[in-house]
Amino acid sequence: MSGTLESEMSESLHSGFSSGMTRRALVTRLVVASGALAVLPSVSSALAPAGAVERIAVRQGATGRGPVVGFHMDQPYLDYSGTAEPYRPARGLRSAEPLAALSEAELRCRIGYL
Amino acid sequence: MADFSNDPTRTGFFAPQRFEADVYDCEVIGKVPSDISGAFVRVGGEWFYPPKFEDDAILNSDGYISMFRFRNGRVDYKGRWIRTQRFEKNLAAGRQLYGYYRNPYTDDPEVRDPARPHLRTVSNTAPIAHAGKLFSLKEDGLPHRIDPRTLETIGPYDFDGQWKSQTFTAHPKIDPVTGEMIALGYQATGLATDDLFVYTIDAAGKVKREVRLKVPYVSVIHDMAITQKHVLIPFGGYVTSRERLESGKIHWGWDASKPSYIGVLPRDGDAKDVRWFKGPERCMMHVFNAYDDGRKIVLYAPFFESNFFPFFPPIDGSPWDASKARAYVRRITIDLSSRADTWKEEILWPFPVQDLGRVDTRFMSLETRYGFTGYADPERPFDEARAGNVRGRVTNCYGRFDFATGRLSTYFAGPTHSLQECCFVPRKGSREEGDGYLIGVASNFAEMRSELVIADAQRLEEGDIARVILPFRSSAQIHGIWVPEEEMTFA
Repeated sequence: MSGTLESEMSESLHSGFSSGMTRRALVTRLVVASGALAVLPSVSSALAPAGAVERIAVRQGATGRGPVVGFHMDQPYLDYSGTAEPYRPARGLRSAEPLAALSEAELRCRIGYL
Repeated sequence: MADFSNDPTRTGFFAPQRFEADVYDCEVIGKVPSDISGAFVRVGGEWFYPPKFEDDAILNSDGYISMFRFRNGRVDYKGRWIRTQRFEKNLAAGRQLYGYYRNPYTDDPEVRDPARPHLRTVSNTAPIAHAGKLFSLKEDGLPHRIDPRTLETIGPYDFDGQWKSQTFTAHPKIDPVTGEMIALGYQATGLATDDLFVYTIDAAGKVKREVRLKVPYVSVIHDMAITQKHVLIPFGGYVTSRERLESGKIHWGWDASKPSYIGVLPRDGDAKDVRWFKGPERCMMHVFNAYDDGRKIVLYAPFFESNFFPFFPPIDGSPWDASKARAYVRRITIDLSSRADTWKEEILWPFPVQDLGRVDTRFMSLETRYGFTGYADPERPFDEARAGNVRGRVTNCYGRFDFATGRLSTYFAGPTHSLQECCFVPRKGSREEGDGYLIGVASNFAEMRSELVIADAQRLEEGDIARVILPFRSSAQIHGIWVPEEEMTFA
């Protein structure tokens, strides 16, 4: 499995990472670049829907997926590994989000009691 | 045409709603106790048309009344606009004709009438049920009578011509012993006047007594309290004048140099009997309850340190201070046998609460052990991924505050919810204070819908007994009341 992963990573390195980069170097660079990844499989499972970890493991050798946008700690990052799941909004409408931009005074003026 | 494109909350949970609704036999999670029979009636404000001025007060939005009707373990929901004269005139014009909160000088010329400011009320603050009649209230005008079967607006009500004040408080108090309703009207004879009329209305709904007072200075008198012997009239900080209004400003400004006052009027007294007790800077909006203790009066109230409302700005030009806009549960003791003109004040819990204090109304004016209100517990989780980012500004708990022991019992609404004002519903057949249910509407930010939560008031930690699900966001509530089946003829 690890050999397959390594070769797949090599295929995706053309879009930003120098060719010949090792898996260890890639992981290190991703951590620096996004503050996001420590161990790829664990991040993939964290971003994936529950129960999808096993499916990811199977796909790792076969997808050839291009870069996808993921999120960690509410910050977006571009995952080049081909193993991350594309970001999908969490279940929930986040309908309180417009309040985030309001100051305390604006909140009281617009909403009154929250 | 309504245009809310300048409203930063035009999307999301607080977007304008603008519709009326009927939902029969609502979806319920859990089981609604079959002994809850009557209606939870709520009044709040929604902008039907956007405000004329972007910095206007939300308190100036149009009145909306809604009702959760309980019977046989089932719940129906109904919501209607309160059809004030102002609402109808706006609707006919297709736009907002009225200016700032309680400033008729800023109205369009075709509706401007500073001599009769009560005609521009939006009736958006609280409901009250008395003598078989249902009303919506706002302190700048007369009550609007509402048909309890349909929630249609019948119109302004002056108690068969016996109510002489131009205005009627948002928070009259009903004496559970006598059935009397004690109410007041401030700015009773017109804009910025210092006239305060206090009324006793008997259990049959007839005006029985009127006392005309002058206030120390013209200010918001939003709430009041009663004991078996006294009427309490708290206010402080907010100021206005005819000149201020003529200059086109919003009705109230905040003057931190003004003392707070609590007027104490014997229920059988005249104007000469009122005593004005004086205290420090306070924003006195709502009370829990009060009672006589010999020659002392005990008042429980969640008063703010200072100005709660940023849209009523400090008159000295200083910025609104959010850090002082915090309400704490306070016990205020007034000693009538003392010559001192002040009171003793204690903060009973060290954290701020929602100032919408409620009690078991069977104990209104009597010694009270429990107060109920919402508060924010920052230790509880909030799921921003599902609900959005409220930056910690969420009322996620209801508390039962035991004034006798200091114990706090807590209901947690969940990690994607914020709670509106709660309401106590007595358990059928019980007489013990606090034996019943605590109900209130929760905003579910993850599902973008409203849910009426029902908890056992004596077991709040156990969570819901039931949640009544609305498939939409209900109107914003300012205040609500419980109306038992036997007090009103519903549909």
